[in-house]
Amino acid sequence: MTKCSFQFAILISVFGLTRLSAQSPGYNDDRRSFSIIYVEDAKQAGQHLRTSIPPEFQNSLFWNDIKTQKLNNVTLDLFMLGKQMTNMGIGNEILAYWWNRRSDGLFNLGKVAERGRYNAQDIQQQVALKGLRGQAEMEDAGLKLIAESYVLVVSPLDLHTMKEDYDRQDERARLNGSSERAKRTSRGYVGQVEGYLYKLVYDDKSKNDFYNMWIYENDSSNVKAQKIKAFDSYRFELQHVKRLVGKGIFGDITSVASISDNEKSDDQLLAGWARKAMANLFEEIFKKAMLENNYQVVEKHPVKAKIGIKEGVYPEKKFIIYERKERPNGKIVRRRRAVVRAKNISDNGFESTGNTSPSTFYRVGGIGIIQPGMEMKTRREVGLSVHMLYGMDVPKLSTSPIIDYGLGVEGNLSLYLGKLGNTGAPVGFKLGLNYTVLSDLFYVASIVPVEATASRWLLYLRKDMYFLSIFHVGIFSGFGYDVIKKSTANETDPQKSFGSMLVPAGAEIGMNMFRIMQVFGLMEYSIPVFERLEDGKTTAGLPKWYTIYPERKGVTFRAGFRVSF
Amino acid sequence: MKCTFSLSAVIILALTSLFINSCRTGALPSKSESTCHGAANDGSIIVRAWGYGTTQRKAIENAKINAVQDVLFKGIKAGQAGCPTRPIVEDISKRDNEYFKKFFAVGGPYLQFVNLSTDDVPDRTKVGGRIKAGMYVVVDHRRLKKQMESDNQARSLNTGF
Repeated sequence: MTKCSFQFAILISVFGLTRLSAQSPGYNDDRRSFSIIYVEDAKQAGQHLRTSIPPEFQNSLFWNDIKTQKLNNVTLDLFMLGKQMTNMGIGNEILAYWWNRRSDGLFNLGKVAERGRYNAQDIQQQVALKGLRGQAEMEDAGLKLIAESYVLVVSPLDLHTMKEDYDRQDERARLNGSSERAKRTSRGYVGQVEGYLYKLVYDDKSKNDFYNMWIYENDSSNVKAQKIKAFDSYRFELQHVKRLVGKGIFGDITSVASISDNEKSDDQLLAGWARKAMANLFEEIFKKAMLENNYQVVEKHPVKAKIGIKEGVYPEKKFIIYERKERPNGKIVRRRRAVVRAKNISDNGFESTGNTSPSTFYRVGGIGIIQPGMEMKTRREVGLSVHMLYGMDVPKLSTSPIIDYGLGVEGNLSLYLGKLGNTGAPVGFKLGLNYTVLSDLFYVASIVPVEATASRWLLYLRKDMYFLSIFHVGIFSGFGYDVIKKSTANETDPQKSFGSMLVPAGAEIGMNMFRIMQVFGLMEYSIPVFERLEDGKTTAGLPKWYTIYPERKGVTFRAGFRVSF
Repeated sequence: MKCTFSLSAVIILALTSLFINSCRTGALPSKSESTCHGAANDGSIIVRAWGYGTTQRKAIENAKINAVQDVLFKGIKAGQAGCPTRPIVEDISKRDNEYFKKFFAVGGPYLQFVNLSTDDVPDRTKVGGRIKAGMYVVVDHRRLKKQMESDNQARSLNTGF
């Protein structure tokens, strides 16, 4: 049996090492440009959606600020909406923006050149500057970016106020014959957002047609007028890409009871909802529509890449490093080598001369050797993890005999700070909550054993440091609440709970097992603070809780595994 | 017993696969054709060159050697316009002579004619057991031609007059 398990482990390892992800070859480093148009709705949420672009995309994408910002009376169907927008001339507006169309109908290359320079990676700048055409070549490179123009139409989906929600509940109750009414404790907005993504068709025919409408300085006024008319009546096509719906229902609500000076207004609540909903929609767009770019590693110790703020890099952002492999049939496949996270971010927001200083990354997974020239690709993540814990009795080291077990959830605090636009956020910080429990016999203020449940809530902040590719150590501290509750009760001995606040501190060591799973062990030392609480009330003068229940003070060892998303 | 047999089979299979992979490297091309990516003001040309090697460093060195060799013996015919399509040294058999062996030795004089290369970020691809590195190399064609002429490896334009 053991041999069989061993054999199975080898097979898993062999599959793991040889797993190749077949993807299309070549690099795609073209920066996309977006225009956001909202659909007018009764609650006027659309304008909030339009202005709620997540910070990480504000620099990493180009924004085509076209005249049309909202749509009325449109059919929210992916295909039909594309046709309608084409007929409305949205494609023309995008091209007019790209080519700086003036009121007299003349175009110029200013925007294209500016974006061409900005989009180029340092390597392309260096090569272009050596060429005869030099900078002009980079500027011309902006031409190919026009074909990467997208239009995103956003619209709220089932957006409703909490009041409407309560009204619906009351109506349902009334129909069921119940007189019970919903408790109106909150106000705010709850709902989803849907996005319709379109791409400007800028193929050879469109280009040819456009250049035929190009107005030259020496064109006669008659020809100029004809070309202006031709451009205004021409319709550049928008092709549908995908309909996306933000996952989950987001809300920004506040308590009705808490009336204070700094309470959010309805408009602020709506803006709060729009921010959350748009962040989620962009996650979907870049995950589902696969619009992410590829970059290259330039140094291996530490890992560096010439990308920064303008590529949307923020602290703790996750990147996968791939090795390209050419098969005998010429097909290129990518093999995952390592997982890294951004640490020190290069501020290249205004860099368009090919002198980007590289951003630094630290390794958090993968056992492959990293080499300059390998491909980097970002991998979007939720930043949450759940874990299971199981107490261990370590001879001579454990000062608490309690072997409890439990569950926990963790959020990647550094990642969230980074996503909010904090480029100097410290990396490796996690904010977590644990709940552990044990049902056993305890000696509570008596020599008679009592059946009781001991449980502990723990809110903690942990700093992780990675070493040897797949291992990490973390130190943590936080605040907790410990409670012991009798399982049985009778008239003479009523059920009671004894609790205390505590300050825990400890260290964790762990190892990555699979792509999303870690195993870890931790040591925790807890110090009780404040008075003992009996049934939630302070009992000054009574014995301290740990004299009744001394085992909870001291060192506890736990092992567990964690699954990240 | 059955399990033990299967385990042995897995190990043998893995070793055989490794052996086949290592044998396959011998069939790889030692170089790929360089392509033109424009010309510079100072007589230099920008070529996209490829090199193979057992390590990345060797592959990068080979890419630079291949770029200079293509300029010397083949001319750069593929890619954009602007690069000389005619080789500097017409007689390709000279490639194996003592002069060029020294010229293309490790750290040899050929490096003087490589003005710039993007060897910090090569396009790295693994092919069989070897590394294929692709990068831009700026070759100083004008100086290289003069050097070959002064070393009597190429005929100058005024030869015969």
